[in-house]
Amino acid sequence: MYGPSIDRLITALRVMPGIGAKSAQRIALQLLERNRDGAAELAASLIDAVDKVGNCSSCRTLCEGERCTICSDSRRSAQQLCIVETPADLFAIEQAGGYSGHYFVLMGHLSPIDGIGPEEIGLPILEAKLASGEVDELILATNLTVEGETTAHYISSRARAAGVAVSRIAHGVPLGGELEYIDSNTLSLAMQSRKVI
Amino acid sequence: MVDRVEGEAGYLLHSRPYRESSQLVDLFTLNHGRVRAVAKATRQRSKRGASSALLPFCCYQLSWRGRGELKSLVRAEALEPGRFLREQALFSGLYLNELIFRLVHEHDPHPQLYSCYQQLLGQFGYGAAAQPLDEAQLRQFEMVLLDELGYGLVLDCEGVSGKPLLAAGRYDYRADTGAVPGRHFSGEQLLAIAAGELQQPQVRAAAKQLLRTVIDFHLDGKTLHSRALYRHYLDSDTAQPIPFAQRQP
Repeated sequence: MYGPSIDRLITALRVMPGIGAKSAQRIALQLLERNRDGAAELAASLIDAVDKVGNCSSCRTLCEGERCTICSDSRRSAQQLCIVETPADLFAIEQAGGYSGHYFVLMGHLSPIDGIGPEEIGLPILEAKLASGEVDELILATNLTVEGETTAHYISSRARAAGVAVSRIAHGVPLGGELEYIDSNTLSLAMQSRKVI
Repeated sequence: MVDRVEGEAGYLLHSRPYRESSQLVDLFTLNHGRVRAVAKATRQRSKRGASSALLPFCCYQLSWRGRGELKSLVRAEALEPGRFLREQALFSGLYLNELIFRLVHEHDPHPQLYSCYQQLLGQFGYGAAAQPLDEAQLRQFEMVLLDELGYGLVLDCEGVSGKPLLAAGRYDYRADTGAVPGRHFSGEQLLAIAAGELQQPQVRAAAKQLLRTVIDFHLDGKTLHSRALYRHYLDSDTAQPIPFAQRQP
């Protein structure tokens, strides 16, 4: 409608999550009309990131270079290994603070119906790590969905076979949560996984 | 095609993220069989923090709309508390779901299979004490599934000749023709499977092999991923849990 270059830009912008045809058009016109410097910077940083960002050889999270900053930080303990599904989950735990071990990012979860098995989520790498004896404790922080639970149970069975202690993050009432308003499934799970104080 | 269905009983077989906050759900319902629908905004949390995402293994009252193949789920009310399956129970549950997902055609009702599925899920119970299904129950489900799809096992007579099976005879079983004289199974085993008498380990092993062959034939080259996963899991599950020392963060 506007010419091949603009149309191509609008189509390209739609790869972003949550950006439909209308938003893509608005962004494209805004960049071209009012912020050409910003557009050039966006283009350059995209090319730069796509070129430089890869996966950490140790934990599989997104990083620049061979190993990520967490894996190469000598103050962090390599004996504790926290398993998460995505880099976003890793950032969430890092922001929450209080954890000073290493991570392993699966980049997904086991899902038989989608054909995602142990190889697709890098479990052979994880098993090699467990077999090397450097890990004492595995913390399973996969999502509380059926796929996340399947992944957690599967990994825990492999870890037990390798002689590594396994724990699963707790599930239940959120901080400041009032029982009256919590959905019944969460509450029943909290009831089941109660602990002695 | 039905425009609108209200209050249909059904289970979630599988869901995957769709767009920003929705889910693409595969449902197994009593009167409409397998149905695929979009469940809008189920990945968002409400202001109170409650999640409205559907859980598998839990019976819902479902209402949907739409003319095409892909329906739009408008309401889902849980009819029972959520089931949180663990360990072996979880893996056998996934196996049941994948069997239905791969073999049952969309919009073909199978009330008999539905009630068998519901009954097996009932065996799991609720809460932490969920018991895994035993082999006989899994085989029973597989047989009901094949019967319902019109691929039921024929175990009273030979496939080609129509002669009755003899307990003393030896047979092979071909998914397309039925039992033929051969060496894999004894007539006694096949007759026991037909009668649903799966107490003996040899009969269970024969039933497992027989049903696997027939199911694989009807899968038409598709793989049952949950089966391999379950086997891997069982292989490594013999190890005892290692005590986890409570650490202070």
